[in-house]
Amino acid sequence: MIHLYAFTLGLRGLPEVSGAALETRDFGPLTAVVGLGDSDDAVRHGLVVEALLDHADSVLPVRFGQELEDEDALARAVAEKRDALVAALADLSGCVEIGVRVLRDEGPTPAAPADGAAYMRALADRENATAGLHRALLGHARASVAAGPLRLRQDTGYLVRRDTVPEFARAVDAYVAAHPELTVLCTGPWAPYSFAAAA
Amino acid sequence: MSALRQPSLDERITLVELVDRVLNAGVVVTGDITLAIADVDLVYVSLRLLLASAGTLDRLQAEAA
Repeated sequence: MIHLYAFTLGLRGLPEVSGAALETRDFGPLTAVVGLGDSDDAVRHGLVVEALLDHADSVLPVRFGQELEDEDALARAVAEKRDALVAALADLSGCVEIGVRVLRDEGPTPAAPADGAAYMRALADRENATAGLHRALLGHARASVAAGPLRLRQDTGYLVRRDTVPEFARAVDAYVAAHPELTVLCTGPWAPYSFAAAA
Repeated sequence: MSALRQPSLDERITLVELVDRVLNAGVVVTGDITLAIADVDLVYVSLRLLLASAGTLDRLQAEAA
């Protein structure tokens, strides 16, 4: 069985990740990073993908759980989508994903609201502040997408060019400082998982 | 279990974010995914996966130290 981690452009050597015996397979301009045998560890899969970010011009993460029977199966799978994969790799080159979650029902809350109207106003304020955060951050990102399946929180993935990540981080800090009613969790930079499915 | 270092809150959050992306995002090239997790909330399906994988993270960090 072949475990597929990611596709890359401009791969410059393979990272060392404990427990992962990494190999490459070239398909024209793109290179697939695979592991033979070892595969049932989602954390290791993620760590390999993240490590690849420092070893390639572009990294297209592959979703965990896809096992390919053999080399022929891999070649067939790639052949079917090769143009889309190359296009996605070119598009995502030099970009990373930053996750921004606005946590509901957490953060500093005033004493219990005096009435229903006050509660609804507080809720509306938080919604407005969240929308404002999104607008502010979009100005520093190439794209955004709703990310994550959890319903209790608002998760957004932002596609950001690597050289503008510090600017993006400053924008998050500035907005959060001005809006203490929000509790914001910012993670990354990640390989652009949430923008990969377009392939 | 008590011999393992407990992950910090930051590490646990990062682990959840990583596993969330690995399971739910990324490109799909095959018809079937080994884990049928497409429409199931991370919090329900992945607790066991997280507990198993937390050991991996600890080991990797210990080796890197």
